[in-house]
Amino acid sequence: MMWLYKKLVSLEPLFARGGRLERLYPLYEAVLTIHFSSTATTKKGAHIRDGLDTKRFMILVVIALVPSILFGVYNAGYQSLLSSQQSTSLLASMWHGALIFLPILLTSYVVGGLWEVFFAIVRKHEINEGFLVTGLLFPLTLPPTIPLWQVALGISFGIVVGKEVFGGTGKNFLNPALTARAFVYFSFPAYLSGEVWVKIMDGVESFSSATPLAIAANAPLATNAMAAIESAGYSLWDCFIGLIPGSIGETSVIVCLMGAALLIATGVGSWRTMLGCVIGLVGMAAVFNVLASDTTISFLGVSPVWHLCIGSFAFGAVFMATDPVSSPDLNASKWVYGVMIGALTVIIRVINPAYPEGVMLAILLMNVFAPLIDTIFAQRMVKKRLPNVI
Amino acid sequence: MKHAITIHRKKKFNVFFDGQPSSDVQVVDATGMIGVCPQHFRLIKPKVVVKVGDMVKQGQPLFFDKKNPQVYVHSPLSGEVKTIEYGHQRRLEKIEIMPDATIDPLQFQPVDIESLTIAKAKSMLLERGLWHGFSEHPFRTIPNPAETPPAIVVMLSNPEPFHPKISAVIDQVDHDLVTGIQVLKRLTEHVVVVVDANEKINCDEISSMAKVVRMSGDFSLFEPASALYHLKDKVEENKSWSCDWHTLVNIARTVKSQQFFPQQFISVGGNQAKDNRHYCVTKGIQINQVVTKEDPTNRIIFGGLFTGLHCEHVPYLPLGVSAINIVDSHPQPEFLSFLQPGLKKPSFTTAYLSGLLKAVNPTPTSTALNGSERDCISCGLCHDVCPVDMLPQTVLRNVAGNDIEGAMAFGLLDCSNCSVCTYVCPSKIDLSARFQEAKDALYLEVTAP
Repeated sequence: MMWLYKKLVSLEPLFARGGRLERLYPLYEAVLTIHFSSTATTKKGAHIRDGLDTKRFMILVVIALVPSILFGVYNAGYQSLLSSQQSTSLLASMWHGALIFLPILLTSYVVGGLWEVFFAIVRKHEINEGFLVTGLLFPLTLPPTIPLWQVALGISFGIVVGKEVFGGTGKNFLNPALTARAFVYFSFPAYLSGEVWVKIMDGVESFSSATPLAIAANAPLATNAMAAIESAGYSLWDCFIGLIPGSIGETSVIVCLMGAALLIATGVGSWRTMLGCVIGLVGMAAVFNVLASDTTISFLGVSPVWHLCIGSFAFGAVFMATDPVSSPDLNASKWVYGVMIGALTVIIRVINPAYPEGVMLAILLMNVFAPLIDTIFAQRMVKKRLPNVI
Repeated sequence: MKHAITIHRKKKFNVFFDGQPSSDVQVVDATGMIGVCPQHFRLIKPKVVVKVGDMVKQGQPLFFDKKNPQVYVHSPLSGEVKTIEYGHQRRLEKIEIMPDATIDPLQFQPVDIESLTIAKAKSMLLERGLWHGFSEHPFRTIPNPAETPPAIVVMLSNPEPFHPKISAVIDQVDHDLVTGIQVLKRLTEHVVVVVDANEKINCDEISSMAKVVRMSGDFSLFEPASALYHLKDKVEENKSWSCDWHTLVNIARTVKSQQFFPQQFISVGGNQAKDNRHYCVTKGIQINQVVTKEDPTNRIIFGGLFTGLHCEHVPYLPLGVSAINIVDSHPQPEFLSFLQPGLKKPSFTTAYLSGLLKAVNPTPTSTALNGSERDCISCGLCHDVCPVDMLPQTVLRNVAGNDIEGAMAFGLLDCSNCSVCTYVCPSKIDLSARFQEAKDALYLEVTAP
């Protein structure tokens, strides 16, 4: 590959200071460093440095998302073929799913990438590899039926308002992918209301069915919401495996667990946050189970195990809540942050009938509180220190 | 100071680097020119008191610090001053001396340690050019001789992976450590000797005179400021002094022979060095007498891999530097390197496979930046390794926002500048250098007339 390297390096004068394409330097830097490792050496401070850089950091998240992507593509195709009563072989499903997912992914990457490059050029900073993750997470949270113009609008909002106006990756306080998702969710509720989730390629209309969360939320008083979900054709096992209609990357718990394993093993995702989310969710669901009676809404009686498996909780806890930038800094605050996300998810799911899913809102809300949690714990640490001031 | 005699620290930066120096010691005496280079002392303003062509004696003052006019730096050998070179902003770069064995060394008056008062002990150390072996916390400056230290922390273990190990030379310096501590005891009652719990040296004699604390943890714990952070229990002790065992040896040898001690122990390490071992060399020796740079792309580091000086152009061993490391400095572009499993990548985390074996497999060292500088992504790795529990990424934000009070509350002045945070940062932010700059600016502010 050295010919490519030499070619790229020979182009540098064009983009360097004083070159004709000086303004496009961030683009050049991004292309060069994505292909070849940096040859820069340390100029001051520690002479040696660790091999881990933000590229590796972000690419590990992308690799952890691969099971979710593959399963999501398969499931989108499978559901589409199933509802149009065609053969659901693996190959056909993958092909069909790819036709559904790739346009969404490309739209997200291209539109988001343009914004990223635009800001990098105007602001004169490097193009941050965090975008590789944002641009991938966002499409995975979308239903297969989403119109591409909404994808473009969503990712634009997420990148610009969720991140770049604050100064880019590292300075944002909200998770950009979730910001994009929230924008689409509130702007076009018809497409993301907990129903209508299967895309049929050939037909004009989409197949309509309620998601398990919507079924549980609409279960009548004094009935068993879990039984209602099961009678609609979603067993607990189905929800765990994820071969059900839903957002592209979020239906399966088991592939999220695979991603979680990689994130935890490589130290990229915080196990404290993930475990905190689970503890919060299980704890709050258990509290609601105790409160549940014949006179309360039947969603209160949904057991913690069901809460863990339905909706996009697993995806949110593994990939969204663990975003290091928007989550708190301190290990102690990560526990609080995680537990609060879990608890809020159940509260929003159960108590608030307007929002069938609560993970997105819970994480965004806790993103806002992350600095406050950090401040509280940091002040405690400061109190333990022997003051050393002038 | 706390009462504990052992301090165990769980947080560990347990990376094992390749290029360890062996423990045998070779003596190398300077044959040609020697040089006195003060790059190691950041905050001094040297004022030279000799001229080119002057004949100087071993132990005769060469320059003093304008901020502390009593603190002189002495000539390691007798000879003729050949050149005096100034660098950027007329800062002293080096004084070159051609040794002349026919000139007798300066003879000092014999001293009786037992009868020394504080004032006499101070003037003895100042007269013999030993004062700059101490540093005063929190700014790590050469202490003002008019002040009395609340405590002196003596470091017998290494703040860096490849600094000279005391266990390698203990049979030569055993008595010197005792003598040195006897002198320090004249300056303050509170002398604390810090030694690595894994260091195989017998401290019985020392512990009869001073408190010995055995610490276990990674090397960054043996930066004097890190050790002080774990030892202190009173606010006054923030201004403690510290010194390493080289200072004790210098004091003891000078007291014993009544002449300036012209030698020092150094270690040569790094994966590109040929003879990785300990040396006993003349101070200010030409470094090509000790190491050869086989490959021009290698980098010679004066000091450790983490805190070493960036002054490769200096041809002599700078004052106060006790290690030379040679590492590869010519990183090759690798295609899609972030996708590799990374068995050969240096890694503290398990983001590369090598991170799983970092405590047993030597981690390759090179000066490659391994990435490009980005904004902090709050990954928290710096929290995990900081030896003084400082929350470096939070302090970095304070420093960047010019909130020095906030930074100090979080422990900016406890920072030992061990540079381990800089090493692990995936955004390649030089945290340690930023903290150093902030502290230096603060120092200049508080010492401004």
